[in-house]
Amino acid sequence: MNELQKSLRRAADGPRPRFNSADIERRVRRRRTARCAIGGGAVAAVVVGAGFLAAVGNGGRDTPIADDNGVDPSGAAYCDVLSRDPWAQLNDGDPFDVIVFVEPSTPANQVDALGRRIAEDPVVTSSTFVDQDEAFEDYADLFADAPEMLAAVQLDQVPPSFRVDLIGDELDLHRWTQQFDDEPGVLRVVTIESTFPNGARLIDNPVARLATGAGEPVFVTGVSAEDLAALVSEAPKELESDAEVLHAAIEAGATGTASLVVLTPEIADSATRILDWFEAECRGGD
Amino acid sequence: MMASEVAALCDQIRDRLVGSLTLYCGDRAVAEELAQDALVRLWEHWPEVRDMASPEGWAFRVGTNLAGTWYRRKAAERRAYAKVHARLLVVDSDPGDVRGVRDAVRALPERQRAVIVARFYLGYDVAGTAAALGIAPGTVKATTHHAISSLRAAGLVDLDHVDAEEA
Repeated sequence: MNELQKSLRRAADGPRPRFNSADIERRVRRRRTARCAIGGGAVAAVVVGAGFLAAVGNGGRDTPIADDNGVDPSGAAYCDVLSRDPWAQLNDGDPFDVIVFVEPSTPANQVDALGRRIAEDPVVTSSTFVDQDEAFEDYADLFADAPEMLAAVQLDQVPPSFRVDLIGDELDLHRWTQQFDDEPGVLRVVTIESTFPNGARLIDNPVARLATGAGEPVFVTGVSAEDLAALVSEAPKELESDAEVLHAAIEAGATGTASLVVLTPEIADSATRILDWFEAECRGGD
Repeated sequence: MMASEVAALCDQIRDRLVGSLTLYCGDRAVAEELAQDALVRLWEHWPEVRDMASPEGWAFRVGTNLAGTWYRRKAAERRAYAKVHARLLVVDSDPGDVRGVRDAVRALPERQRAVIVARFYLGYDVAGTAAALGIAPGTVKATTHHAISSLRAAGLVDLDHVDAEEA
């Protein structure tokens, strides 16, 4: 064995991988289950919504959960909870402003041409292409615990997409969205403000959206069991019952890490009180 | 039975696949993810892959392709994330003494990196490397030569012996 081989071996060495063939088999099964379609015209709309959910939800998953012990009587701990993802995803359109979903059957050269037109548009600062495989994996991860959602979608039904960052104001966003909605090959242009067929809206700050949108269903994404538990366990005394109302509402509509909450005045009031508390207690020092 | 056959192969090539992708992408944790994704695809394509000369080589190639996608996507996510979260904590769990070698390999262009890892970590010969990576044997030789020059320039190891073998 020569020197290069030896040093490569050393450099590649590490702890035993934390997976084996059983894990691979499980993942293969999961992907297979997900590909068994039920078909139907509504699927595309569901998938576009889910594609956006997967994209939005993805942002929160890597965020480590801080290790808080007990309830801080000053409320600082709860400020911390509400400042973390998914509760505090900022309302400036991050991690992207727009997703352009592409019709899955669009020929590659047309997708390339669309990508070029997007990239060359003067208000676009960046655009990233997410292919069908990646979009499907996001979808499968998002709904890993929801077999009925996995069963509803096949790989070839998942639309690829461009995730696009824009500069400009709301008017630019609106104009841009309209313009690209009419481009050949475009399935749908979606922004954080878009409304879906069942009236559901996508969400950046779940608490804020729950507080303002009484009457319409709200998608809450990227909320892990820990996030949800902390919402209640860290709540100061005066917010305990409100936190429990939100907890129950989100848990009731949960599908995987996403949840479809049908808003009631009670939920909206609770969310409003939590939001007001957050504005008063946590924003003051900034 | 097909499932047990492919399962056995997964377990058999797992360590080498993770090792080779560690060299290719410079990070063992990422390599582990990529290896799993590559093995999932190997499992799904087993009917075609089982008759290939080197299913391991096929998995390595899939892993290197996935690495490109992974990094492009990660870079986009990180940029977006940085906007929201001002700072991002990056923990490097790998010991410092291997970093030099990994960095030198990682600094090579994609194809040179794949060829070096296939030949000198996985131990494939010129024909095996060519088949695994889908390039011509002549290209493998030339690419190996360029890569070794770069590694020597990076002061990686005393490579005279290697060079003599290649000539």
